[in-house]
Amino acid sequence: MAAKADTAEVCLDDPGCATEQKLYLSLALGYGQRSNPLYDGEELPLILLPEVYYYGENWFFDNGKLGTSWALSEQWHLSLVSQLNSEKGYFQKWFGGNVFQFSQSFTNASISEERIGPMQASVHEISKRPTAVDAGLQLDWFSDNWQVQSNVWQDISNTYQGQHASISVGRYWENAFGRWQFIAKLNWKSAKLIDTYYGIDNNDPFYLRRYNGKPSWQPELRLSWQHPLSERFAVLGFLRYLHLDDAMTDSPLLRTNNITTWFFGVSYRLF
Amino acid sequence: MQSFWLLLALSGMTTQHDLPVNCDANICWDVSPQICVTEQQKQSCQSQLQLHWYSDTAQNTCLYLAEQKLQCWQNVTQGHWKQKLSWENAALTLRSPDNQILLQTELQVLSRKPARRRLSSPWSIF
Repeated sequence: MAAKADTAEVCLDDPGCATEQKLYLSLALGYGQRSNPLYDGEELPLILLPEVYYYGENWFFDNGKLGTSWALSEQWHLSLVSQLNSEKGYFQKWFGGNVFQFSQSFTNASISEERIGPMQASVHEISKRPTAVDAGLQLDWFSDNWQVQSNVWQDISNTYQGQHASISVGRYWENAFGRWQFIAKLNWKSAKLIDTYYGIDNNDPFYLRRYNGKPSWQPELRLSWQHPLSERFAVLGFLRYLHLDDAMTDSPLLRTNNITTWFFGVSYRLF
Repeated sequence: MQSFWLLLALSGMTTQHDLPVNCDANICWDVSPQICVTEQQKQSCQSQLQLHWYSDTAQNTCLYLAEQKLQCWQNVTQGHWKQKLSWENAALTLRSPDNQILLQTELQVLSRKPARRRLSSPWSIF
């Protein structure tokens, strides 16, 4: 004999899990920065960070990623996903991919800026870079403490008309100091993507050195930490390092070969 | 049974002929267990459910799991029922002949695992 009703599910109090059909909204107040690899590019100060996610029965939204997911087995999940391409965030400070909102660009083309040098180009001098929307496939593999994730993305907004992909391996663990997550990730970005954002062509001022983008490989390391203080409060911190290869650093726009992001603060879960 | 399962008896186990304790109402019962816990989500959960109801006055009652009638009693002041169930979330009710609910307890299936793993890293907006 069996009773007919929905199965109740319980989600352990873990930042890496979600109960279906429940909206999660948290805010973290603290301080951090995301560096900007561009000449005259502004660092992005991180003061108030949102975390928003919702997993329905058939679709999900998680920190800007919208998708639908199929469980191929207990360990394998295949998802169709879309999100804003994040490259524009280095050219425009208050970009939707940064904080879910758009505001005025600071990347208007201008020839009045002081020249940095003969081989370099300021972010203030170049033409406006496009806002792009990507869609793609994501394949996840989970075990108790490990997660492998691979993504393939295609521009669907007809802007840069290219692709990018990534594969990451994540390890979760818990100790007396809190919950930790370490992720090693390898990103690949197509020549068209690099060319659109970091290339210099005839749409840019004539006096800048021309650059045609090449495919780029970008390894990345991420370390995250969270220590619950109560049911709703937690202390958290994260550190991310993205290495940029010569396909990026050969661009006259680039002044560094890495992007670092860090934050330390206190989070409060509203829902 | 497809998987490891664990039983939690939240109401406290009673022996077969003990009367419910701390019963101030005219009719009371003990139901045990009330939660069946699986290791993974959506696994079936099987356990032996037992209940004992007790009334001040003689009752004609029937026991239902969701809308499925399990057993009826005629003109008695107490009843006992015990059976192995493959259960999911459902209401266990004791009803009068006119289908009025005299007692109700929610049976639950819970999973020890998270409902699901997230497909983005926490705090990954930036």
